[in-house]
Amino acid sequence: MANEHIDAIILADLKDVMEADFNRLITIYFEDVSLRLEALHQSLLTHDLAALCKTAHSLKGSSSNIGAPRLAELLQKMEDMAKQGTLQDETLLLQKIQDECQLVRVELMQWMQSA
Amino acid sequence: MDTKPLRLLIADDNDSDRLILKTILEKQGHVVFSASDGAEALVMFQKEAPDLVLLDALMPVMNGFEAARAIKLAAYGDLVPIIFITSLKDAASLADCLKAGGDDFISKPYNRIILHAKIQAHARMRRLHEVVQEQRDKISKHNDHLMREQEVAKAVFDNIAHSGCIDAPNIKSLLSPMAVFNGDMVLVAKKPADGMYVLLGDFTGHGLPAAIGALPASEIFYGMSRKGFTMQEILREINRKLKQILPVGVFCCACMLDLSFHEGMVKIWMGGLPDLIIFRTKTKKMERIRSAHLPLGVLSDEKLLLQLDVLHLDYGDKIYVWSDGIHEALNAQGEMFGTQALDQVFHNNNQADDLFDEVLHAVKVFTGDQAQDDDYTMVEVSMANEHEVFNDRQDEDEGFAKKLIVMDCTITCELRPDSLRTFNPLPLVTHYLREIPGLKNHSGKLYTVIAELYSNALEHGLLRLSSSLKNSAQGFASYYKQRTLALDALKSGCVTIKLNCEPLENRGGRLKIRVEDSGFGFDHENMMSNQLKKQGYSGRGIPLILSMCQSVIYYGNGNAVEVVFDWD
Repeated sequence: MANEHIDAIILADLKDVMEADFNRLITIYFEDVSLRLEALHQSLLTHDLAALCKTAHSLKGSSSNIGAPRLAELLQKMEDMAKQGTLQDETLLLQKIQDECQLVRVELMQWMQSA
Repeated sequence: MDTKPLRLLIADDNDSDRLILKTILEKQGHVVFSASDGAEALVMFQKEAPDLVLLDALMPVMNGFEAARAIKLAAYGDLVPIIFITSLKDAASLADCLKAGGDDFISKPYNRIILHAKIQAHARMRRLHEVVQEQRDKISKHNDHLMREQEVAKAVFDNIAHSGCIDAPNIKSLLSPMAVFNGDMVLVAKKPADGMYVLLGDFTGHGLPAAIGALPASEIFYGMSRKGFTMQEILREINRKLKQILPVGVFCCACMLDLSFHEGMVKIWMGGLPDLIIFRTKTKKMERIRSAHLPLGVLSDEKLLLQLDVLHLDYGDKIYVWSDGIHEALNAQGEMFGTQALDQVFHNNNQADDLFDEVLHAVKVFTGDQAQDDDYTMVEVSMANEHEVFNDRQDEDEGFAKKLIVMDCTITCELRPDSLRTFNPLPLVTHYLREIPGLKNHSGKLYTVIAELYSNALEHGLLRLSSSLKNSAQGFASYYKQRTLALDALKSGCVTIKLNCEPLENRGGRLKIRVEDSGFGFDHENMMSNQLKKQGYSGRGIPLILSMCQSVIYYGNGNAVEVVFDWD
């Protein structure tokens, strides 16, 4: 498991590419995260494994792109579990994901301000 | 590195991912169109026609796999590379990407260098494909053009190479089918007076190049036949022309027949074709004539030999001439039909009229389904009576000719030994007579008359050959041999042809033909009565002329004769 919440190399790279759009990108990501976290929660409640898998997969992709490898890894676990159809400690995993999201959010806010 | 800007379509349902990708690609100089699901991507693809597509695999509405299939379909023949963007890791999912028509994949998180390299690699593929496509279209257009040209050429070729009196009832011929442009030709022409010429030609090679030579050959054949030239003169002219125009290695294997219905005789020249077969209907015997000459278009004029086989034919006897396609027709095992099998068909025959079809049937049975190979030409010529073969066709411009005023003129033509050896006056004289209004429709008759008078004057008057030689089938051949020898040895003397033409009051005109030789003359009274009594092989002659003209009067020792021909 990656130790860092944020991969500084990826993020520096992103900042370099996005230039003025960097903050907009992070804001879009935050909106996405909020929506997907809510969706994950709903899917678990309704036991909709297909939706759970898709949502986890999508957020995993954007999280890896934004430079949040630990969060991506947690979401990968959720995706795998949903795909195999055997949930185990799923509520705990969702909690871990929510916590990680919070940490990532805090660090990204700092990156936004350091512009 | 090649970084020509491209038009790229990207589709990802994830807003942040799409923004990153769009930004990266725009920074690399490309024009980017973005869509948030597969269905939108397909619409945008049809609208923008991008060079390359990047698709997220898992999207709502229409996922990447479905979108890839739809895009490949919409692209028709164009190569539009599709790169899947995916965080899928398992081999089965990646294989699905390719199965759906994807050309490559890129994984998240994006690596700008790999992204650039892959896009450029696929752009190169696309450009290469465009070049190939352009060339393919060019070739296909060229090919269409060629096919159209071939069709037109084939139609023209058929009009030229299989024309004349090929429908005459004593001729059966097999022509190449529409699809096969094999360069074989079958030419049949009515001679001005008695009989017909048949020429079967097989040019080396196939297709258009082989067929080109048929054009001048048939022009010469028909033009000279109509004007009354002899077979040797026609062959010599065709050979000269082909030698002049065909490249080395291209020539024409040929057989020409000079069929005389009245005399029941055929003269044959063979150059390079398989043995000709003469089938004697009464005795069911086969005779072969082997080619003794090189094909036409090979030798220069001086070296060309034109020795003819002269044979007597009975009514109904048949001559078979063919290209080597019959003998060389292959079966499934690659074996040739061959001469023996062909002979067998003739041996087994019961009804001579069925022979032509029996030969074709035997070849067909032998080759089985190898029907593609039907590249052969065959002609059957039967000895018949002239009136069965040709209906008396009148020239079309008869009405016009009648209105013209008949010429009042005299023309004299005197031929001395060198001219007698090399020059045939008949085409010239016939041509002249055709120019006289009203005589055009009689030119066949007049040709017969003048030909008879001229050959009497030359062969009997000057060369002193005995016509009794021609009373037997074998005699024919030796007669023509003696004629050649005597002509070669001729030192002095001449034959004069004098045509005198004058209009008659209120109707047509009168033509006086006077043919005179410097020989010793002959007992014409005796000969005339003899010829009237018996109708042997040489039984045509004077009685025939008498039946066509107003009068035939011999002068002097019989070395001058005048014929009067009146017409309306």
